[in-house]
Amino acid sequence: MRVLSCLLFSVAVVAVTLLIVRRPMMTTAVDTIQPSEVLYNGRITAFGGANGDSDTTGRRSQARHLKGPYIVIDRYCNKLFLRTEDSILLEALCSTGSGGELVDAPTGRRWQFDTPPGVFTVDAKLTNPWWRKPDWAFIEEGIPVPKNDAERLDDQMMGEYAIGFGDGFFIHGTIYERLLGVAVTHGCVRLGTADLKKLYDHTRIGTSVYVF
Amino acid sequence: MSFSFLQCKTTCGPTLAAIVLHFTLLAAFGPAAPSSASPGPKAAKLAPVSEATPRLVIDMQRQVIDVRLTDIVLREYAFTILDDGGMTGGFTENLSSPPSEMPIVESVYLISGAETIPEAELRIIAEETGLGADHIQRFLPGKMVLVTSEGMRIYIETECPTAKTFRWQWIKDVFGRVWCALTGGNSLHLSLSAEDAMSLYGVARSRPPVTVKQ
Repeated sequence: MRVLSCLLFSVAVVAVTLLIVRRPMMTTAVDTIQPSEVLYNGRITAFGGANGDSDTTGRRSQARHLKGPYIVIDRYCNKLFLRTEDSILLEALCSTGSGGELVDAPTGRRWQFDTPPGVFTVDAKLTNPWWRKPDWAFIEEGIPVPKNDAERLDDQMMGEYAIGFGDGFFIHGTIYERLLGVAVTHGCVRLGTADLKKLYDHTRIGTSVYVF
Repeated sequence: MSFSFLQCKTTCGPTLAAIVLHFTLLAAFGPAAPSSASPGPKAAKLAPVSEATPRLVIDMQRQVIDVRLTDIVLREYAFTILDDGGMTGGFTENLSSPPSEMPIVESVYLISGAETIPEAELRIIAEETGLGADHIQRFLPGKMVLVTSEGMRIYIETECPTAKTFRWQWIKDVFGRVWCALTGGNSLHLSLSAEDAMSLYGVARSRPPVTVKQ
């Protein structure tokens, strides 16, 4: 009886240990992740997905503002414009930062979900971007923050394109198109699929972005 | 000792309650909260203009209000003058060199407006996102007022058909008009589209510098 108890206990310990250190299956897409050059820390982390297209050369020239069309983001109206001084090339409904705050009670960490006002430049253009969920995305849902990086990856949320304009903020797609026109995001700017494609096609690294 | 304590309890208690009630009522019904109309300290009447601060330029000739940032036009709101209030130009606009200080929009408030998100939908969105309804809701202005630090009042009217009047703001506006008339303050009455007025309301809440170009 005593031997049986010890045996059962050993099996239980081994089982628990295996559960803790378990590694999930790696998919082909994860295996093709480009490393840190296109990884942004902070609010959103995005990088080239399975198709691998990305252009981050602009990061080395962030201060350079190109002439030509520029992007304007009106946070109160939740509208995005691609325009020149004289004409508007694209007017689109978007979703901007909600202004809400999240506090993680156990650690005291706080996040403020604003789209920052100011002058920026496009510093990245990505196709089929993946989202590496930051800690707040799990804390907000009441889910434990995973220790394994692979469990943070989402290839659906950001749509087909992502346009970075600095410090981890992106203009990207969304699965919540019915919420366009409402300020509900965690800081990034969401666009509908068609408008995002148009913007992506007419934007270059160095295009100015004005947020007010 | 116990008698003194009891005596203190019966007299201090109601007094303390009265003080608390007084401050509660003051907080609830006192002067407007900063989020909607923020009369800043007198020292902040003029704002230093920086490259990161959007500013409003009211162009009387083109009849357009520009929102500019670092001299780049971000948005333009076409207007019709309803009553120029006999303005002779209390402000001058200098585009060739950035002025060091400009008057600012000290407060802006809606006298009437229409909610852009219906109540039922707002409740659902608020529940789904965990955000407060105040954060999410936007208003299409019917009538609104911008008051600058130089005492100029800019009245905006739109075609918004479903605007409802906000009673307290209406009363505040009546007093404001009377005061403006008595002190000979400048005022300007403009008509804008409701969509443009909504965007202008959003910009004005950040208390931007404002100039008038004759």
